[in-house]
Amino acid sequence: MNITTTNPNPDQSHAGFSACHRTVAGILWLAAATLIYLISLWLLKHHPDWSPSARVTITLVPLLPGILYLRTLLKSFWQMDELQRRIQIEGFGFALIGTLVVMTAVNIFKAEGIALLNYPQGLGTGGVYMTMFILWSVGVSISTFRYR
Amino acid sequence: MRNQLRELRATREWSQNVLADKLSVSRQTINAIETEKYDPSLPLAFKIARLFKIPIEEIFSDK
Repeated sequence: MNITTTNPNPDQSHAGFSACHRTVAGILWLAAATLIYLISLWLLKHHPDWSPSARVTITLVPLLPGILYLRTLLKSFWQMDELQRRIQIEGFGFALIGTLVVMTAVNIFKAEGIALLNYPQGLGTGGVYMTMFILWSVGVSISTFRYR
Repeated sequence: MRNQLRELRATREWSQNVLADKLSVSRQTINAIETEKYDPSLPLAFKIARLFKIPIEEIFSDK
């Protein structure tokens, strides 16, 4: 008995493998960026005597894996089909506008002297990233529901 | 924009997954086009027309 197990669409299988490979690469670059960021923070805190050029270099080192993470994200974006890409763009637009609104609101509160429980000094970089991520998730969910 | 994609797919007895594979898009995209929630790009519309071997205006209309 001759059984052939050829894949009817090898391009799809290859695309699936590439997407999986990119996801793993993205997670690894993000983990590397976080780890290097934490190490650089520790070094900067415990070695205030180091020269300004060394401190600048240490501060900028986490940007390298961060840029590689963004590169992986962009590659994934361009491999998506057109509807998935539209959903991501709508999610990103929602996050961008939403973050601007939240930042403006927090700054108005700050200017008026109303201290917010979690953000007495404004959103800060971490707060902006977190707000953007949450709003991106909400935006993508809304768009996915719209086109379902 | 109206389209005949569901009817054309039914004549070939293809599932949404099969059509999605043939067009290299996701099943969600096929469903969104069929339910007219999403208008495909011009390259995808041409790809659909080539796949079914009929003119593009016989699949998509603005009425």
